[in-house]
Amino acid sequence: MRLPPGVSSSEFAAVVAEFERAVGKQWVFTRDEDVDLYRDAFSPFLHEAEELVASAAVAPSTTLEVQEIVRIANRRKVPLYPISTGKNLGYGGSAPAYSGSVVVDLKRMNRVIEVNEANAFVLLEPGVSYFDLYHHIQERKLKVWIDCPDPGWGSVIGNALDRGGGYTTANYRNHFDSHCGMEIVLPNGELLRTGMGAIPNAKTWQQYKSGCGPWIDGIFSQSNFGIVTKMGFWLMPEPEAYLRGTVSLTRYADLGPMVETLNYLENARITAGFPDIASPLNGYPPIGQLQVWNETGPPSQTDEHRKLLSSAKLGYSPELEAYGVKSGIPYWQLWLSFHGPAGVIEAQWQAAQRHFAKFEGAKFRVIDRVKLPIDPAKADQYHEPELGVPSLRAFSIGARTPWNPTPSKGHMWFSPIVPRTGEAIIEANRVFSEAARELDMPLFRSFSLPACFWERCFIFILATPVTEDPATNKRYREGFKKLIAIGGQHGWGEYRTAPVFQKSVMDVYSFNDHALQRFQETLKDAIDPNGIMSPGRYAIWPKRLRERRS
Amino acid sequence: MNRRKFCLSSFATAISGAVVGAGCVRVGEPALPAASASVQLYKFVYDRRYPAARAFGIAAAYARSTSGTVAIAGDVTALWSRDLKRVWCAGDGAIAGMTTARTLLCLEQLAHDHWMRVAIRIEHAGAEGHEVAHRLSAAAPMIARISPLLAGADWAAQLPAALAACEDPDGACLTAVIGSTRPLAGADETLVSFVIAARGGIA
Repeated sequence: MRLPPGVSSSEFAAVVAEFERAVGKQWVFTRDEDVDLYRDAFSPFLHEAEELVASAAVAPSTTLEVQEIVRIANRRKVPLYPISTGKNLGYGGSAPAYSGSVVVDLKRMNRVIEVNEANAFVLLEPGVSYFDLYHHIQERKLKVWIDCPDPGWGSVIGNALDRGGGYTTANYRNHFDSHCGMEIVLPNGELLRTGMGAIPNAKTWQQYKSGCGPWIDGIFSQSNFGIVTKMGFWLMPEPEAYLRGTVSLTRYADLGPMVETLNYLENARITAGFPDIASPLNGYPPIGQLQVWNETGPPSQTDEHRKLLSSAKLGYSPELEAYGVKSGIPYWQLWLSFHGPAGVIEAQWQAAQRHFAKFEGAKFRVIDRVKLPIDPAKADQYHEPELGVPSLRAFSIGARTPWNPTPSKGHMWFSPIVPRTGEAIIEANRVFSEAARELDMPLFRSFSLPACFWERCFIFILATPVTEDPATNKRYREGFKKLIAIGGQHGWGEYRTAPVFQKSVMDVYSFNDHALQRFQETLKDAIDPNGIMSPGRYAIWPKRLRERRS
Repeated sequence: MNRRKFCLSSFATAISGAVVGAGCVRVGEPALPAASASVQLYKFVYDRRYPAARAFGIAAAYARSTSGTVAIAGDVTALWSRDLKRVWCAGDGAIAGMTTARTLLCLEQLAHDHWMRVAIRIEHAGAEGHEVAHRLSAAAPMIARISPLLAGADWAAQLPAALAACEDPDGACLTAVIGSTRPLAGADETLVSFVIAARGGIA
């Protein structure tokens, strides 16, 4: 039996026995074969002793059982690490931030408590996956959509608490922002409800977010202040139709004005669907086409095109631009999508074209006009998540293909947030490509484009591979940390990261001598004085383990 | 722990309370697993893009009585959404297959959600000279039974019957590497053969 740090085998045996009394013997796992299932499938410590691992796991089925587990852990000072389904593989999986913690596996808590179709919201438990919620809605023929990430196998609550994003419309793509009301088991075992849920017999828990007084929901995301056992979300009423079109532009200098135009259209809600920026001339696909590229291969390039790309700087050379014009290959291609009544979205598409008509040589093309709902069996003709349909196709990305001859064993996402400007795209490429070359990191080796999950900012999402070779993995880990620091020097920060990098990321958020981190530690000491809840998650260490921060 | 008990308890909660378990709702009374019995396979899965996997799939159709074989092309969304999700939630559905490592990773993660695990894993990796190295992780009796088959020319076609005879693998797996001079014809992908079954008692 593995042990939590500082806990003797006899003490831990007593804890396990208490857990077994609380949830039933069959729901406490201590054998290596069972505990190994909580290892991080994409751990950057593959085959290394430093890999973060659990000592045991316990799977409660009710909030009352969660409370009892927490009380036991608090009495015995045993660290816990709650997971919903543990599927954020590129950001850390189900392995704890503090090796030896006991994983609290919440996937037995898989109840959809309410789907309110009339007012488009849901209340559910952490074990409900996007697939579960989608099928629950489909089986009842409810006219609401989910917004899911890619792939859609994870927990709705888990993804929101990790502040993940999706692909439908702007109101719903930010999964934490679209939540309304939480129930949390605090580190002392007490139960807390936020927002209107703090009113006994509340009637509007999922209908008004903030309640009255300080709105504290945010401190339970990317943190270690409690275990969320229920959470409400706003859903999107099923739209009548979907339209997707492209705007193709020919000049490198169009990038900045293109982004400005997109920002206006999005902030004015003329377009609300997931905007997707590609560069056909640079061979950079839109996110929504990645799986198609993976399945069928990228568009072929001539020798001349490849040669010009190899000599371009920051995705540009006059010769490359001339080649694009001559060959009819757009420099930039913006994919816009619209959801709503057919007449409305046609008008929105027309308005978008009017705004882009000022660009010399702009071309417009409708890719899809879809009457909704679609037949789920035909959803794979599209990028499913943009139509609110969960998929696992993203997992074919990274498989061995002629155009990806050396697939990795996994990946770590490098995900800095940068300003929503064309200049920021180019500056980030300049900074990170120079650094990656010096560090021999396989990122930004060709011109890269960010994603538009959220309004008003860009996010680069680039994979650093996990390999079979520990020496390579070590080099990548160290390089990854340096890239984080370099980003911080330019005012850019990661939005989310795996436990092994959380200290490096939070070190970047250092304004006024790390005032944010000190505030978080003050909260931690008050809320969790015994330091049992996910020690070290997002670099928030309890007082008794604070030396680990450095 | 036992996945069947898990699904039954979820169902009991669902019908006794005001809420519905989204993940697992039983659709019928389960047959109890036979102690130390062979795996009762629900289906074979293979990736039709690869010759070795196609040979596996053709042989699987004759290997033993199952609910059938499923051909995929990397993605398991349809298999999962329309088939395995329901069956795994109901406490059944051990599967065997030959796919890419990525596909198996996907199935393996989904299996964990239903208290199942990979009981047998055989990586078929191309080596220099277009030979194949088979890396086999399984319980010792299964390694002894499967290893000789992997040296033969028709190893891909031999595997379904061997995997279908998999016995309860509960406990530690061992790993063995079996070389072969036989080519993995027509593909440079590392394929993986596997059995996914319930932890503990195999249904």
